[in-house]
Amino acid sequence: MTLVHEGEAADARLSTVSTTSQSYRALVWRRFRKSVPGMLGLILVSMLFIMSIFAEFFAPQNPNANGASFAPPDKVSFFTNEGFTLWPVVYTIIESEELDPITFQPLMGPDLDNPRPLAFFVDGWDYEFLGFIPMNTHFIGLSDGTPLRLLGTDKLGRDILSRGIMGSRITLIIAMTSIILITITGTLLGITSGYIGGRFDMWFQRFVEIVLAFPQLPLYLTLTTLIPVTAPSSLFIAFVILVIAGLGWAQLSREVRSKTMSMARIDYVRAAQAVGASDTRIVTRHILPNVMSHVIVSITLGIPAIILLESFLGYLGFAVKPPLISWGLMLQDASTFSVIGSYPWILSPVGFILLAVFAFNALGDGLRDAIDPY
Amino acid sequence: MSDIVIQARRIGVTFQVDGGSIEAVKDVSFTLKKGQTIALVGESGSGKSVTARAIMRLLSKRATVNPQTEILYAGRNMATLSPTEMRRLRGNRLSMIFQEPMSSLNPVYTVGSQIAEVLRIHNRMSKAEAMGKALALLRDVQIPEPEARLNQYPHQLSGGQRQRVMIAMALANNPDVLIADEPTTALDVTVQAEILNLIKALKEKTGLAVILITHDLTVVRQFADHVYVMQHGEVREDGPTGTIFSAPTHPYTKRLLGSEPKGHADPAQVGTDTVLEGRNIRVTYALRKGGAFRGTWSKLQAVDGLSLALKRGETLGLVGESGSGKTTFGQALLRLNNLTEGEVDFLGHRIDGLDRRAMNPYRKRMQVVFQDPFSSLNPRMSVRQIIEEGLIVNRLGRTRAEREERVKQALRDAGLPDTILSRFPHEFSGGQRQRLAIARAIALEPEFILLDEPTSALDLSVQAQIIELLRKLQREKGLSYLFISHDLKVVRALCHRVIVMQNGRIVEQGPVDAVLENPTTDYTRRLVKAAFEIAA
Repeated sequence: MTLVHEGEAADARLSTVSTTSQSYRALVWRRFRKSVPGMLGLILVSMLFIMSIFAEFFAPQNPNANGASFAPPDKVSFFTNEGFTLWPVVYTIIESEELDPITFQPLMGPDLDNPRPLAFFVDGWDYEFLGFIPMNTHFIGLSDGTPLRLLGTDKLGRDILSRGIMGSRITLIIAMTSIILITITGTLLGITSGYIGGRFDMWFQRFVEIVLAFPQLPLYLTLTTLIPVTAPSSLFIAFVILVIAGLGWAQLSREVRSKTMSMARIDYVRAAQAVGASDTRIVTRHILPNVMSHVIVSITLGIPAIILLESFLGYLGFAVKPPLISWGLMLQDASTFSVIGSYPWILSPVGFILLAVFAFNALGDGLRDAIDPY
Repeated sequence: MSDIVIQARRIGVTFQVDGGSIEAVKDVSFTLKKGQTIALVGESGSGKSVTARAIMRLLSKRATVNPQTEILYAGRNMATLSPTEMRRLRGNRLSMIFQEPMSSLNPVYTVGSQIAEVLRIHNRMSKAEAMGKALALLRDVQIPEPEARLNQYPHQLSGGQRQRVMIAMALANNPDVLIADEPTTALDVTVQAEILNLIKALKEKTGLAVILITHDLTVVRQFADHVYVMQHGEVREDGPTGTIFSAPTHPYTKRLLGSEPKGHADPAQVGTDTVLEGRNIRVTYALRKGGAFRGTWSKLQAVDGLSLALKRGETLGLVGESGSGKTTFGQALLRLNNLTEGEVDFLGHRIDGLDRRAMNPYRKRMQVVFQDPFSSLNPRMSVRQIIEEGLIVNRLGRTRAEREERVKQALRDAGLPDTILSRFPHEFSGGQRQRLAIARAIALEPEFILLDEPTSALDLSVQAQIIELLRKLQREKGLSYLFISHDLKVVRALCHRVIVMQNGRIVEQGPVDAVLENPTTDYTRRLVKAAFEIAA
């Protein structure tokens, strides 16, 4: 048996070659890092979250303060009367004395006589940082306190950039809360149904099919109109979240169920049964961790869908009520063609939505490729 | 030398992988003559399949053939032919059959039309002519009722018949070279013999040259004229089959040949008390057809009234072809399946009626090792967690330190270093993973282990190590094994007694030597012949 021992020695040698062991997380990270769109998505998503958490700091104007309505974006330039400058200057929009011959609105244009340098960490409107620290410092602005409106104003003269930044908060709250509810319900019900199987599974799946077969849009509209118009905004948002989650969990539960069913037949689950492990232990230690990778991917790909849904419902006026701000609600102003033609900058919330959707999709794609490293 | 068909010199293949490249094949050269069978032999990862695919130019996009490669066929270097020219050769002058006959046939076309397609791609031929030729080919490959098969779909054929169809397709255009990449690995042993004999007969009839790729030394001994032994992408040794087997010179060849399972179970260690006894076990599966809520149910008798008794320290082999119910029977004895009828005694206690909670006290005394070490270890758990699980569940070892000591002991017993506690399964090779699975089983200090084909997913040399480990553990711990296998060689090396199963019933049983040397039933005789001689 000397030959066998030689082989055994080789076996043992092999196992001592690499001394550092890599956990699952480290492996996923190593693969994820290589995906350019994935990393781009991760950076954008992180920036989006930072921006919405510290929205007041990043918003240069008070999102509810009124100024001249439908003012075009301020002009940012590297040239002044004296020539080229390294630091950009802003020519803010001012109303002139003349009136538009058709609309009789005062004509607006950049104040070319007064270049104002762009500045960071300037004092502006008062707010409470993180909800309790009174502050008035803002990320960007003009040093002399003149309002900076990089994306123009809407019909009530409110700064669109500031509203977009503030609106990201409500939009992300709706998206994140619904996705958390969807994930918890979908995963739990999917695992239960798949693991128990049998008659329960059969009836439960029929129920899931009914939920999936519901015509979603009419249901959203009906359900949202059920709430009294006088209800507080927070209740309204909670209701919207419940409706989105109530219809959204079914798809995820289906996917998780089929994963669970294939997982429950795999040998390591049988081995756990053979050592006498309880169902709870098998589900939490063996099935759940292996299903989670799939769930994480479907979360990141589900968020953009909810953002789009919110913008769509908001546009129709069913998601968020003023004075709260969301991207969908902001697009309501853009509902007539003539307005878009005259004041194209009020479409800029579309840019926010596009960016957010792209960021989450890219992150999800990168994760999907990286999540199965074996 | 005009009878040389392929002259290959310095074949090299490099794969691009995450963080670098791997040379899968290095400087492999061989000569293939008309009517000759050469065998590329090696364990998994030795580059034998990659070599074959390099000849056919069927490598994946990540692979590059090294520039010095020269594969001369009919005076031209195939490594530099254009894709169009290569396509003309492939399936026409050179053809290939693969390991998995199910996935190489298209399920939506009939067998006849798939063979006819191959004919019509390379020849001007009407559909009717092609179908006629296809029928003749099916006759050549000795499929029963070839006329009926022509209009059948792949799923209606058995694995062996599918492989015959693949051979018929490969031979459709009278190729000069047939490359057979593990053609029988996915088939039962008895079928394997038939397929190999068919290739041999066709070769003699047509003067075909065959490149046989396999890890099975018995197959090589029976069918190859010239052997190339490969390891880590290089040819270690080559020579006429007889010479290689009788006088190997390279140490790797010697090791490979020496790892054929041998030896016998020691009859002295068998005790007198019975560990496990099953009486009239029946397992019936209810198959459901159609219906959203209620379908029609039919019954499948997987295990049909089987009985066995296992003594302490004994190894009982359970053999049979796939589908004979041996795994179902084994798992039913351990109560991992629900048995429909019958009685099971474990250490003198009836366990057949117990529910899962009531089974728990017995779980730690009976363990199981599965066939596939890649699916039997949870990829998300570290070695410590995998082995510790049984200890935690059964409340063995009060403190963490005590448990860790037991885990380490189990690893040492299974022939692994005890420093690997925080590593993950994917860092280990197949053989090491199987050792981990064994460590998980013995950590609970069971009295009985169900071994469900524990060696069949492993390379030959690793297989020998695992057999030796199992023997050692049995000797030291007085374990009883129920050893499920289709490989009679391993059974002979490890088992005291053997039960031969077919279609859920016992065909024959007795001491291993008696059954294997003097089989009384035809079925056993075929199994034995297939395992030890191939030429059935």
